[in-house]
Amino acid sequence: MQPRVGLFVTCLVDLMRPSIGFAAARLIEDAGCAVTVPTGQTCCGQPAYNAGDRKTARELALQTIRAFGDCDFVVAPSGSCAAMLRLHYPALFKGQGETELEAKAFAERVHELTDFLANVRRKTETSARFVGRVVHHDACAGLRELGIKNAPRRLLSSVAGLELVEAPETTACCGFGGLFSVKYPEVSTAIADRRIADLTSTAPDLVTAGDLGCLMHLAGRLHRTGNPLPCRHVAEVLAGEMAAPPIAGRAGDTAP
Amino acid sequence: MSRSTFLVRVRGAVETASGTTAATRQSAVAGRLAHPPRHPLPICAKARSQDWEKELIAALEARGGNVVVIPDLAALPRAVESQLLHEQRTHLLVGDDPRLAVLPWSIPPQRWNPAQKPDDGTAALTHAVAAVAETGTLVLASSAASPATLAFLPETHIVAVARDTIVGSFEAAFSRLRTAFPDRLPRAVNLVSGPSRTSDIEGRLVKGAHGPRRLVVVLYGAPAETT
Amino acid sequence: MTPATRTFRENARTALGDAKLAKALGGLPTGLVAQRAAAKARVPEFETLRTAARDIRDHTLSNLDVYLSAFADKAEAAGARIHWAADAVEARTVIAHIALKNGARLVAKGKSMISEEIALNAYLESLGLEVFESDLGEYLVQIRNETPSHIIVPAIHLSRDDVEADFRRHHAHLVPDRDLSTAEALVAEARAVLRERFLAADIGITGANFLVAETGSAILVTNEGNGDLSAHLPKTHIVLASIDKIVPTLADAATLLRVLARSATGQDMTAYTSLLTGPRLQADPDGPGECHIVILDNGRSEMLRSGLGEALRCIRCGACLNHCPVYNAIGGHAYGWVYAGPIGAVLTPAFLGVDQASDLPSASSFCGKCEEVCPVRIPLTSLMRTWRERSRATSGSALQRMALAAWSFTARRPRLYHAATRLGIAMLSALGRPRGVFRRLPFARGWTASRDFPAPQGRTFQQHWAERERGVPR
Repeated sequence: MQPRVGLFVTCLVDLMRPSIGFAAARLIEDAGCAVTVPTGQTCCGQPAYNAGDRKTARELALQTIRAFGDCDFVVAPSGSCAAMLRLHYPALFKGQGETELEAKAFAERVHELTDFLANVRRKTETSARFVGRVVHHDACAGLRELGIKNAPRRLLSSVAGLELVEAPETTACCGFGGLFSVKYPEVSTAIADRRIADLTSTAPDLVTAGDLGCLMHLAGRLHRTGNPLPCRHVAEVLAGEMAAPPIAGRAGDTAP
Repeated sequence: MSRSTFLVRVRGAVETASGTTAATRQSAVAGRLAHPPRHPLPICAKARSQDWEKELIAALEARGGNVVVIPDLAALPRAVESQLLHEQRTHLLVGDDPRLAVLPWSIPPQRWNPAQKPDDGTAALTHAVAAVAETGTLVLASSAASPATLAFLPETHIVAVARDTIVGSFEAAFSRLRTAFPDRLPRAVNLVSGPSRTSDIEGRLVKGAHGPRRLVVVLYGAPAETT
Repeated sequence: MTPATRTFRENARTALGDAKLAKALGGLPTGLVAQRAAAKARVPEFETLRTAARDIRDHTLSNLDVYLSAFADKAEAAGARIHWAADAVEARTVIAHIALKNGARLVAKGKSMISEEIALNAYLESLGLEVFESDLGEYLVQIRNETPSHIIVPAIHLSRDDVEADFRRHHAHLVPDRDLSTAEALVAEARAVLRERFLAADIGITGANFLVAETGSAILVTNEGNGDLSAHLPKTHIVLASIDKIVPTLADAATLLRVLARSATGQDMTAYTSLLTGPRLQADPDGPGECHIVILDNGRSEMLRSGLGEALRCIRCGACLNHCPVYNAIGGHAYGWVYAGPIGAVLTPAFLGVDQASDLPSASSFCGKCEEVCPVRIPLTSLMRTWRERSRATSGSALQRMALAAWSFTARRPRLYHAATRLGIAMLSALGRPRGVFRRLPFARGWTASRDFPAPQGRTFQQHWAERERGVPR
């Protein structure tokens, strides 16, 4: 029987860019799983948690945990949200007996999308095609909290025609940081500029990342500064879901 | 503030944070102090004893120290004098070190008078009590024979190191210190790993910030018997 | 120093506009960051050493009262005088008392962040003492009436040109044609000036990197040797150290030293590491006749009590600053007080009160790089989050707090959430789709001042998915 995977869409993908959700669902299905999207999910609670509101974070955590009660796996197209579910949920209920156990049992089933595909489902190939140089930006939470580094690269390398290039500062932050990006916009943007300089030094045709937050921030800055370099979520490239314009692109801007 | 008032406050904080009793802590501390722990050692501290000298020299030279190897202490004056000649220094200051005083100097070194502060242009010679291969570090213990001032004021510092005092790790050097000075350490134990340096101006490395610009290490005698 | 933590936003904005500062900080990735990486690469067991170092710090902090006692006994037995200072005022007073009792006029200072924390120099100067900083970087900021902008590289914000100009202004003996065009020439000039002062100093005040309970020693780590000159030459040496500097044994110190220099400057070992134990002995020809150790609490036991004890593991290597994207963008002065970067964001609210410094723990993207490089594995992001919890009621603008409250109300009610977002997104999309982005959004000016905001695709994923489930093609 096919494993039942609950797609934790993430609030940004749900609201801003459903095409990433469909790309993720397609990839999970192609990896031999059945996808379900519980409607009881909203947001993982990270914005509240990082703003210091543990109470709201706990309530959203419980809501999420219970919404995915009957899934074998919970997969999110975001390292940041996956880290919240996997690492911070158990921490939020530390010392709370049954609830902590429930959070831990839930956390063990949670995976970031590329990690799930490459390491749980052992996918090494995709049927997608993209001709051009791609530079992959590692979102910090996925990289440092979940150790996701090879999975997206391994999968991207399997895309026909795709040449994966590495930015010199492989592990640098883009400056998004959730609410940080609006609370300290100047600092956030300065960090973005440095990251963009680093990424563009590889003369890429496309920037990918596993987190829509980072991508909206980078794409928004690129667009504002008149740089046409497109940005897409790694799932879109892997699934060949390239019909939608790139992030911050206009309808009709399809390339690439 | 009195010691007891001060410590009461810390004790309260420790007990809130760790939930331990004073008795448990007393015994944990007594145990640790009586039997210093053995922490993991990096590979550079675990080298075989026959490699220690090589490691020491490489590390010192990498930081801009000069290393000279001589057969025995009797050869020290020649080695030191040629070094002084090379650096065009006339003054060599030493402490009250009987091991150096009996050596066949052609120009006897000058015994340092603590009332006088050596200026730039002087060189000093002192003895190390040990050297640590792991990082290329000399262990100097202050005494009448080896005043700490001489390791910092002169422009050139020459350090004599008996080859059988080279050890692999800091732990080994510290355990030697414990044996040599069971009651209390000398006032200053200076671990010297190279000439004085600074990178405070645009990150650029410059030698001789305050202390010696040059560090010369003279290794003498037979190496320790390897076990 | 007067804290400028409340104006963090303005400070940061000013710093971002400072091209000279950007150039100075631009050297970090190829400098200290690359040097640390190389040093770490030479030690395959580095991660194991970090864990051991963390465990040493935790063990010490869990037994801190007993270790402080043991240290004091040993140090007193070696002839040092121990002074216990609960706060900055007590520490300043006791130091001033020692200085005045000894008839001191000139004070040599080794680099000490704690002396910045208690604003020692200004206090001693107000009593008529002359104080000179002897670490080159500290000296450079002292003659500019500035404060250090980095824990281990105090003058990282200055250029060689700045230093030359400052020396020409400040060193009256310099003739105009004296060549000061290189770092070497500037260092030589500073050496000559400071050497004179060292020889004239009556008192030396240094910090301590560690206080060893086993031996009653203070360990002082420097590259220049200035700490040693401050400790060996004057008649009186005062060590100013906080309670968290205690290490149990020399063996523990060995492990901490192995990670300290490598994390700080990428050196395997700094040029000088000195174990100072008591005043000069009878047979010693040199060394201070009096050795005082001032042990400072200044809010640290409270940190330990209130769940911030992990911050006291810090050994002040500065690696978290060097690797922090925020520090790299704005430098140290923008943080507004003594400690900058991630560790500053955790320490400063404890010292000044979180109401004075709530921006600091907030101004982090939580990238986690600091935790990745911290030699004692301080969970810096969790500690910053703890401060965010404690300052939540006052942090951010009223509008931001309201928006967050509204969002959290909705997010906890999935049906309402899906209905509301469906509506909102449809509107936003209709407005934004023609251009693909918003150049301005009235409620997100923080974003759109410098970045375009990508327009949503149209409907929510949940909407699409529900239709797919019902068999409606996308």
